Amino acid sequence: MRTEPKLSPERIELLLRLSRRGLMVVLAMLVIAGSTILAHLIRPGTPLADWPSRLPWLIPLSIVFMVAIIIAPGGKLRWRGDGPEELAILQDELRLANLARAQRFALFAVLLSQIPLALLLSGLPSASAVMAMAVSSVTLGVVTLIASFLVLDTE
Amino acid sequence: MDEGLRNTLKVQRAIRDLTQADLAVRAGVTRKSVNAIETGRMVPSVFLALKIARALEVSVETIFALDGGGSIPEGDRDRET
Repeated sequence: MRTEPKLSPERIELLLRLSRRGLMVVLAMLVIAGSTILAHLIRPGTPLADWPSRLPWLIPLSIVFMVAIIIAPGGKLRWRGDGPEELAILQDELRLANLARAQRFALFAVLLSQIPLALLLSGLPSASAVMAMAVSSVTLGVVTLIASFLVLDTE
Repeated sequence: MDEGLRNTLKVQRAIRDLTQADLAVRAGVTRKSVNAIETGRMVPSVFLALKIARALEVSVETIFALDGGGSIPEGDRDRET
């Protein structure tokens, strides 16, 4: 019988689980970074805006902690770009379809948010308003993309 | 015209005593894709449909057919192969 290169279902499941966990960590990092930058632009001096300068040691510590969360459960498992399981995951039609849907959601979210954001940020000086619009649009787009992909990817 | 795609993937898999993971490995996709196709949440591309048919050693028409259109051939069709 002709079959595809022999794949390990356990490795595929583990890689998928690690990939989901990684996306969750990236999502959390984006929310924290985005809200910190926005707070810095909109309400400087608040604890949310100033935590990086008050607690600078927290940044490398949290990066190490987040990387450990992603890597530790996999043990020696590493992502090999040319591995058959990795290729099966990257070319998986369901994942690609979910990614395309998530991209559409993200685009709609960014487009719909533009007028409310503009109204919300209209009280700021123009340079800060432009910066805040950019940061909030990018954060909203990427957060919507990752979050909706994670939701669509659940069984 | 509102036509959907129905499939006998679950039946064909059960006949061969394969799990979703087994079929996924044979077809080179993830188990979630097999599950999504079985439950009708996803319509596979021609390429994937052919890969699944090859993995099950049947024709594509044995597994997939249009709702209300051409019918899935009788269940015995795959047994001829």
